[in-house]
Amino acid sequence: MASDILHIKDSYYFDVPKTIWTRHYESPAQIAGSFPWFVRLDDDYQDWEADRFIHTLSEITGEPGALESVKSNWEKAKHNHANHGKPLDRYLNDGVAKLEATARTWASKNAPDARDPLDAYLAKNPTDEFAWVAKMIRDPQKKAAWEKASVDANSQEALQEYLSLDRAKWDQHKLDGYSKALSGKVFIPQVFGGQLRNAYEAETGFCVSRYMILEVAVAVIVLFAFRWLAAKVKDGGSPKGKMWNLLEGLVQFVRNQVVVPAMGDHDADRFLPLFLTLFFFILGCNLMGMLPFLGAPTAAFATTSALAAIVFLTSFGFGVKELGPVGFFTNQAPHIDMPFGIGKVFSFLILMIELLSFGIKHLILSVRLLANMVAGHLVLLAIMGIAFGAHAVSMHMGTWSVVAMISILGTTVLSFLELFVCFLQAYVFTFLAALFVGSAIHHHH
Amino acid sequence: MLNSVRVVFWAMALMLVMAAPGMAQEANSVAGAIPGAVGAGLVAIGAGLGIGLLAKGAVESIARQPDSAGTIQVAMIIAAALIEGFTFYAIYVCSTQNPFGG
Repeated sequence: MASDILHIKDSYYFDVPKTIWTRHYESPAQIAGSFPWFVRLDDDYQDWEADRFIHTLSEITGEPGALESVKSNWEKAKHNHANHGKPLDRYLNDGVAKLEATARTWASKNAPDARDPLDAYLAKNPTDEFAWVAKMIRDPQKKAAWEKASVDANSQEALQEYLSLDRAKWDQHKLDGYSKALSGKVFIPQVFGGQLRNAYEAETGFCVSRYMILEVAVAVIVLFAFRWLAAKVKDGGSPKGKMWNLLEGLVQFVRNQVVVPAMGDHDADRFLPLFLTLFFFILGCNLMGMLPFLGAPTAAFATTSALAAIVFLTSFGFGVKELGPVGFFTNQAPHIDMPFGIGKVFSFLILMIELLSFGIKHLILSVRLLANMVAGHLVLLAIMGIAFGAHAVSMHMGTWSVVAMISILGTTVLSFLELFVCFLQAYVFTFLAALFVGSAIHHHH
Repeated sequence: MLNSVRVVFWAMALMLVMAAPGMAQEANSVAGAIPGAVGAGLVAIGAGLGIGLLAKGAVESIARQPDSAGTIQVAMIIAAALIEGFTFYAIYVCSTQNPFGG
């Protein structure tokens, strides 16, 4: 799922050079045919929709005075980065939800006996801008009409109504801007019926994002590469050829230098498939980040936390299976010999700390991988941005070409470091995962 | 006397840095990012020192016993990766702190 983390974003499209995938729009109806949500984000459309929504609201509400300032409040709120492109009905809905939450927390502290927390809060703060909405939706009839108006504002009919108007004849300059913005973006067909809110966020349903496709691609490549390797290993003796040597060398490395030192010889072969899968999947995903126009799926929190969750479930599950549920927990706490039973208290405290650290060390596996991938690409972007910044500041060929050359040199060197980091992070993740699983299934103390 | 002048100077500098966000009236102002930036800088100092000490120990041990260079190198890389892991996260979290932001 695409999310907002650090602008190294997952997205619902693939980036390709603009010359390969140009779009040319002659009317907003063409844009709305493929990307209705893009037209909904347009300022002119949102302005028209806001007017229409306020007109519907003025027929529902009993307080016509409040409606005068709604539109100007909404336009002022849109300057805030978080509210960018938010239509009026969603702005009001979000505002009401926030007001009710604030009223509840305020009332739990200041007026715990009040029958209605919202009334108590509004008695003290009557000038909240969403007060009239909150009061209006108490009446079930008005609430139903409000919800119907919201649904209607977001419907296909509203969009079609706008497109049939005269103001929907956008001038060519505006359409060219849209064509330029949408060129070079190959949007992923949403086969599971998900609706997009914009190029980076999903509105409803399950939307297929770029990282999901890349992960499936990595999985398929790993699957076929190792099926080939398995066939070779089954028949042949010593490896011949580059690919065979490479893959078998990596497999031997993971077994002998990573899993066996961490888990001991005895259990290594049992868990080896898991760790080999983790290593090669993470390596593949990281390396995808080095390819142009793709991206590293491990730069998304969803991917890395899923991988860490797998390791957590493995160590917890196999720990309980090997040592029994009670034995697993007593394994974490050492036996301390001290007089008068003080040792039991210490042991209990250490048990609490060990349990906390059990959870934390698995969670931080995901954070470490994520942060390394994201930070590396962020720094790369920053250094490439130096060239763009120099171009923006001084178009003088001499200055800009020198700065651009330095920037490209820096980017190249950093890309080598990034390549090293890809391998290193895959190695560190697998090594620590093997360490955690090993320490969960072996008796210490 | 020079010592008390020094103390007063540092106290004023610290007060200016710490109080600047409070003095900034509007939300989203630049000064509101100072606490986060200072935190990020401290994290960077800590991580740099930590990994530097690690490198010192590793290099000295290799100098003592060149035979075990491989093992020491592996241990050094693992420890550096662990430290860097939370460092990046902490820098990110500190850089996006703006307690007075809108």
